Amino acid sequence: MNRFLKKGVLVHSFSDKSGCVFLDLHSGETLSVLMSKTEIFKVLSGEMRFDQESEQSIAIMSLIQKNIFMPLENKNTNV
Amino acid sequence: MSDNYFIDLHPFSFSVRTYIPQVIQNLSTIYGSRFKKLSVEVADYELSVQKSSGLRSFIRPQARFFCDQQEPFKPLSFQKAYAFLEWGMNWTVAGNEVQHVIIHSAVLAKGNKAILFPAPPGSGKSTLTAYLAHNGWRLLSDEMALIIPQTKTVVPFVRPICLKNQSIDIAKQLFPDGKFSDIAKDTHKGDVIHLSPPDSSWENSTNTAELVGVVFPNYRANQTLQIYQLDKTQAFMQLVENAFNYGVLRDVAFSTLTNVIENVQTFEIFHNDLAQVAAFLEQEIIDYE
Amino acid sequence: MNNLSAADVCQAFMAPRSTLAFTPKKWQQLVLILRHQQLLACYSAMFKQAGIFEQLPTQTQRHFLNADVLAENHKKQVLFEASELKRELGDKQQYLIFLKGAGYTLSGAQVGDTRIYNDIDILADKKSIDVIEKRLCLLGWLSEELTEHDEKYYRKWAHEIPPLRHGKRGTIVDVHHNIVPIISGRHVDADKFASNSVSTPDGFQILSFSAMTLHSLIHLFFNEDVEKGYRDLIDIHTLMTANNHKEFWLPLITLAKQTGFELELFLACRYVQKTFQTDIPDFVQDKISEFCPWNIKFLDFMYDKTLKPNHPLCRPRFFSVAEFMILIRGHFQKMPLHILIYHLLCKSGISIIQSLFGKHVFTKELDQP
Repeated sequence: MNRFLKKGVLVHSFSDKSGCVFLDLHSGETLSVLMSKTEIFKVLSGEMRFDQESEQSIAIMSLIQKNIFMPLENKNTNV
Repeated sequence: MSDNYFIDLHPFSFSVRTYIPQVIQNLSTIYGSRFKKLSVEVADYELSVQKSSGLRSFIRPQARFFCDQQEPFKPLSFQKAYAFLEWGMNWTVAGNEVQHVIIHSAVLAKGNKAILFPAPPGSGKSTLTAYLAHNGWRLLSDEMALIIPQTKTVVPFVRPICLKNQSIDIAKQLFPDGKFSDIAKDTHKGDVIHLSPPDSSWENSTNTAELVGVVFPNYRANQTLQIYQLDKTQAFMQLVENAFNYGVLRDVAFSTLTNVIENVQTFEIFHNDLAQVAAFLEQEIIDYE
Repeated sequence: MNNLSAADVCQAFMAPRSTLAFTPKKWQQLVLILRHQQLLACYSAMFKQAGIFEQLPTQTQRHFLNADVLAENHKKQVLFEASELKRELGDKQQYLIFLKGAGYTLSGAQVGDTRIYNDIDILADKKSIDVIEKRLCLLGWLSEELTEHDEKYYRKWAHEIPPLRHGKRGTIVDVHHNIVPIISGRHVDADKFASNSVSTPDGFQILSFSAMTLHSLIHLFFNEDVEKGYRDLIDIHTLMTANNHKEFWLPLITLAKQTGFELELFLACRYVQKTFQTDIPDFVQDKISEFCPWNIKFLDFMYDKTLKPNHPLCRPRFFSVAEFMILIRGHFQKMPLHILIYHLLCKSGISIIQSLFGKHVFTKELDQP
């Protein structure tokens, strides 16, 4: 499940490691995930797993649903 | 019939057209020498509060608010006319001014160091604001914090403090010499009154301040002071929710607010004692090195 | 003290340097007028193009800069909304063409650069309208609150289903299946307009610049709504100036003839020239001169007054009279006399009640601050 950050999304990872926030410039929506950037990418790459019901999984799924994270195959297409 | 007045409210200015005596009287009480008859001044926005006409004005008189020929709101009952103008000013600035990131929040400073107090209605924020403003702090704003983009600098937009319901009696007891407006009864927020901040706030209305803290206050009658350090992600998201023009400024607002949150202390507090809160703010945030 | 006149405002557009002599009061008045007419961003761009923006008073610059930000944000929002609509409605109809303001923005041309508007207008084929309406409702678009009379006007007499508002985002979309009301007797084959559509680089369908211009001038001169007449005239001037070549003018004239709007084309050319000295080639003037109506003096009076900035500070004398005459003429063109009288009686009945009991007597509950 390799994914990358969609073009036109700003991300900030807070220094207290409390989480990351994303701004989708296309839709204007702002989202947050209470995980550090490293943890997020570990989950996306499969290195780390959370229980499907957990808050972390739900948060990541919601980012994927909103197309913040795109599948690697889409990297060169214009979205 | 209507007279034109001018109010200098740095960094903005308004002309106000009205013939309603109650509005003129309240503006004079609250704004003092900043409120005068319009002569050669050039205002940013042209506001107007008028009594509605027609048969209805005899039965249940209403006040209408206009900004630059537009009427953005339905009329309110006549005795709320002055409060209507104050809300109208907020609306005008929030909708048009995008040179700053504007947060729905109080902001006060001790010297050059400022703290943001975003708060939903009922949190007791305005009572705290009034207390601090009369106890060594200066008010930069009660409702609209103007942050210069990509900085932590707040530009004052000094306006009266808006107090509701129980806070009204508390404030009248605490500040018997305060410059209060008339009470507007039965608004959608309940009873509402406006209190002009002390002269020191007005005198410093062009002096900016640097943010050192964001504090979410909550008044709880039976709660002694409890302080929680808020994690930055949550503090940021709450700030976004309270930002008037975040949607318009997008990336500029995003980077400004992430920078602010990264570089200030963030707390949520529960309290029932204003003096204790003031002491905490001064010792732990203002004096923090 | 001299107030700013409508002519001053037009002159500011034509010769930006003339504003350098303005007093602070005149600048303030200009800002108020332009804000009211939704032209702040337009003039801002014009002052920048003329290279004199930095010479404007700081207070004035701030207002223009605000408008720039708001216009830029507006563009992004429209792009997003249009993408969503294209995605949601994609294959449901024969064509889905973005009209008016949305069309300007999506074209990427100068005419859309600074333009703010409230609704997104779409043209779709008549057969698909029901499907579109149903699909949008499923996706959270709700019908705007209307009186029963207005609802009937929209569906039966006019050319639109009532506007739909997105439940969460508040955007309003107007879905049209024709350019003019069915009942006006001026039946226009919407497909003729649709066949004059092009695709933008982002894949949106819009009208060609010729068809877009014709649609704009029909909207201004066939409709009764001249409230933003000056701004609409600027749009037409901008389109004509940016596309001043045969490949634009000839299809424009042809389409005007095919759809029966030669008079409107004539009036548009006449008034942009009068107001902005728009460069209209001789061959075009020759072709359209035959469409000059018998009552041109009367029309000149009406439009001379109403195609100017419409702010109390600079509104021309007799503006209200002229506006009323256009209202009558506009309605008259849209519906047969007996229906017009009924429609006006309903509207004026409502007006009388509003003036007795206050403007908001029919507005539903509260949009309070």
